[in-house]
Amino acid sequence: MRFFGRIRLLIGIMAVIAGVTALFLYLNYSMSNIVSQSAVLESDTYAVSAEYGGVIEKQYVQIGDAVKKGDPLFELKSSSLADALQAKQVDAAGLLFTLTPTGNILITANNNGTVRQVNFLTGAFVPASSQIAQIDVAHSQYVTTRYLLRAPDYARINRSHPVVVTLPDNTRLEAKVFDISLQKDGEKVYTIVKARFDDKATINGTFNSGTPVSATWQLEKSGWYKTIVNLLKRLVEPTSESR
Amino acid sequence: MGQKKTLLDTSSEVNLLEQRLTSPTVSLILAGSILGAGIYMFFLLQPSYRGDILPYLMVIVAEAFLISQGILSFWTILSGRSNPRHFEYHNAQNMLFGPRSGKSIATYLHEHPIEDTRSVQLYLHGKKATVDVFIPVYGEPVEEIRETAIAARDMYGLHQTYILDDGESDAVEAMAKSVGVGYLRRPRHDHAKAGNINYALQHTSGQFFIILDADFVAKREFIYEAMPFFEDSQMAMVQTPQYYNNAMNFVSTAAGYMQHVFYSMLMAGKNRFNAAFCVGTCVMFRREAIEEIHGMYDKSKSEDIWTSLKLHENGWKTIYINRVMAEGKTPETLKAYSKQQLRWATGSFEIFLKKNPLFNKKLTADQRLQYLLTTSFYFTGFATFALLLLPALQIYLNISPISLTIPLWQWSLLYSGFFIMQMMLSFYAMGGLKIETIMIAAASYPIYIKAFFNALFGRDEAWSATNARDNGYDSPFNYIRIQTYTFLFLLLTSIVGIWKIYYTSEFSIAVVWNVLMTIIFWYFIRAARRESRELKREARQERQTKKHIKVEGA
Repeated sequence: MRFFGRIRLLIGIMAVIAGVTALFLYLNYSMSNIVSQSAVLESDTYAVSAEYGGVIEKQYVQIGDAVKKGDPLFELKSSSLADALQAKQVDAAGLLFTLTPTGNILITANNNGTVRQVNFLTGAFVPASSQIAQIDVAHSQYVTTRYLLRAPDYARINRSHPVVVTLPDNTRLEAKVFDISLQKDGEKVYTIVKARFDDKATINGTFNSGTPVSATWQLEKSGWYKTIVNLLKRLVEPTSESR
Repeated sequence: MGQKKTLLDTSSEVNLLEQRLTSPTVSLILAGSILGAGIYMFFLLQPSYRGDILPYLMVIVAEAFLISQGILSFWTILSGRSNPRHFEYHNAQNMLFGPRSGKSIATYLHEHPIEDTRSVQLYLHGKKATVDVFIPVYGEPVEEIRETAIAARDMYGLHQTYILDDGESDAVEAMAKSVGVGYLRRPRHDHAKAGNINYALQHTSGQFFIILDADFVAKREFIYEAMPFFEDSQMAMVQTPQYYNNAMNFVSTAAGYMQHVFYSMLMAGKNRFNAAFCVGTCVMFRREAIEEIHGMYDKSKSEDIWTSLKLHENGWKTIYINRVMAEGKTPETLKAYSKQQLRWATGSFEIFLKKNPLFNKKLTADQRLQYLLTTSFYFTGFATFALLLLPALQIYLNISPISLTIPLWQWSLLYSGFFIMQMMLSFYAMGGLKIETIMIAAASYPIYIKAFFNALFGRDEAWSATNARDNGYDSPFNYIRIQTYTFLFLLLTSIVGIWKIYYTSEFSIAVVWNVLMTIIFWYFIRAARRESRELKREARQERQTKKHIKVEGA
C-alpha cells in the first residue's frame, strides 16, 4: 500500500514535469515566432502621365479596374501636341503614345495591373508631365511589417525564414524577406521587414495595397539556452577592471 | 487547570464574535463590499475590456459565482443578527424544572450534587418531558467515548444516555456499564450513522433526543439551553455549534477556524429563513418530527443535511443557537480532514444534483435560496481551480482574460474594491484573518471536485472505509496527491514565468499571482511534510513500545 502510494505519487510528479516541459517548449517556439505590430499589403506601382498637357476627353477606366498591357486608359486632347506636330517639331512615329484618328493622345497601359489612383477626371485639364493615374503592377505584391524586437532577438534574425502573412480572409501566404530596416518611434525602435510574395501566389482581388494583415516571423529557435549560457558566462567572465 | 482556562477563553471569544457582528459598522463594510463587487463585475462585463475568450469566460464564471456566493452570504449574515429567544422561550426555560413561583431552580443547580441535578424532572408546557441522549460510536478510543458519556450523563435534567455501538466493542460495553449509561448494539450495521440512530429510536421512547458524536464533550446546560425552544410545537430541531477546542497544529487551526466562521456567521443567519440545518452532532430533535419523515434519512452518507431538508419539506421549524454546548476535536490530520470535507461536499452536491433546492416546491422561497447557497458552496472548488489555471494560461499561451490595454493600476483599483472590502470584513468581524484558513480553503479544491463527480456518478469513496492501521503509518501524501502536483506545477510555472520576464523584459501580473499561489501551496505542502514526520515518529514509538511489552511479557 505504502509502496504503491509512492509509485503513484512519483508517476504523477513525472507527468506534471513532462506536461510543464511540453508547455515550455511550446512557449519557446511561440516566442521565436514574433508577431507583427502592424503589417500592410503593398505592391510595385507605375505612374501614368503624358509629356503634353491637355484636356481629358475620355476616361476608359475607373479605380479598381484590372487592365492588361495595351488597354486604353485615357484620351487627351492636346493643343500643344497639335502645335508641335504642325510645326514639325516632333514626328508622329516617335511619340511615346499612339494617336487616335481625331488626333487625340491615347494613353494605354504599359503593364498588367490594377488602377489604384486616378488624379484627373474627364474634362479636367492636365498640365504637361503630371501624373494622371497610378497602376499597381500585377503579381508584384509584397508586405511591409513592423516588429518590436528586443536586443537579444536581433541575434536570432534569419533572413532566409519567410514571413507568414495571414490575409483578412484567413488565407496564409509565405513571403520572402528582401529588405530589413529600422525605424525609431519615440523610445521604441521598430524593425521594418519587407517581404515579397511568390509570383504564383493568388491574392483575393479586393485586398489591394494598404490592406492591413497580420504577419509572423520565425526567429532562430535556440534562444532560451543561449540566454542561460550567456548569463552563466557573464558570471565567470572577469570584468574589465580586474583584467 | 489549563483545560479550564481554554474553556473560558473559547466561550468569551464566541461572545466577542457575536458582539462584533451586531455592530452597525459591519453593515457599512458589508454594503461597501457588495458595492465593490458590483463595480468589479460591471467592469469585467464591459466588452471593450474583454481579453481572450477562454480565460475571459473562466474569469467571468468563476468570479460571478464567488461574488454571488459572497453576496448571498453577506445577506444571510445581515439577516441573522436577532436573538432567536423570545418571551415564550424564556417562560419555557423558567418552567423547565417544574412549574414553580419565584426564581427558577436553574439558578441553584450548580450548588447541588451531580447525582441530584441530572435527575431533576423536565417539564414542557407543564407536562413531563422525556429526553434521550445518543452517542453513536464506531471504533473510537474507549477513553474518548468515556469522557463524552460521562459529560452526557451529567447534563442537568432527567434524561437517558445511550452509547450506540457500531464498532461491536466489548470494552465500550463494559465502560458503559461502569459509568452507568445505556448501551445499544444492533445486529446489522447498515446505513451507517443514520441507521444506527434509527435503530436506537426503535428501542427507546424519549419525546426528544440529542445526538453527540463520540468526541463531543457536552456542557451540563445543554438541555436547559436547547429544550425550551421546543415549546413551539412546530419546532423539530435545535442545532448548537459544532465547536472545536483543539487549535494546535496546522490542520486543526485552519479547519477549526473555517467552521467557526461558518457557524457563528452563516448558520445564525439561516434562522430567519427557517433554514438552519443539522450538522450531525450537538443537535436536539423532536422524535415526533423524525418519525413523521420515517426516521433519519439513511440513503446517503450525509444524513444530517438530508434529514433537515426532509423536515423543512414537511413544514417543520428548525433553529440554530450561537452558544457552544459541546466541544469536540477538529480533524487533526490531513487524512481526517480530507475524509470529512469529502463527505460534506458529496452530501451537498447530492442534494444539488438530485433534488435541486431551487425547484423544490415543498420549500418556501427563503428556504430554497438558503439551501441553494449551502449546497452550491462547494462549487468554489471549480472556481479555485479556474483561478489557479489562469496565470499559467497567460504565461504559457499568452492568452489573458482582460484586455492588456488597461493600465495595471486601474485594474487593481477595481479589483481591490471587491477584495479589500472582504479583507476588512474578516479583520473587523473576526479580529484577523488566519493565513492557514486561506491556505486550506485553496488547497481543498481537489476534494470538492472529486466530491462533485462522486455525487454525479453515485460513487462511494473506497478509502473512506479503510482505516489503515496495519503498519501504523499512513502518509498524508496519499490524500493530497493532487495538491502536491498542483504545487509542483505552480512552482515550475513560476520559474518559467520569471525566466519569461527576464527574457522579454516585460512585467506580467500573471507571474506575481502565480508566485503568490506557489507560496500558498508551498506552505500547505510544508504542513503536510511536518505532519508526515510527526506520524512517522508516532508510529515508530508505538512499534517500540509494543516490542517492549512483548519482551517484558516473555
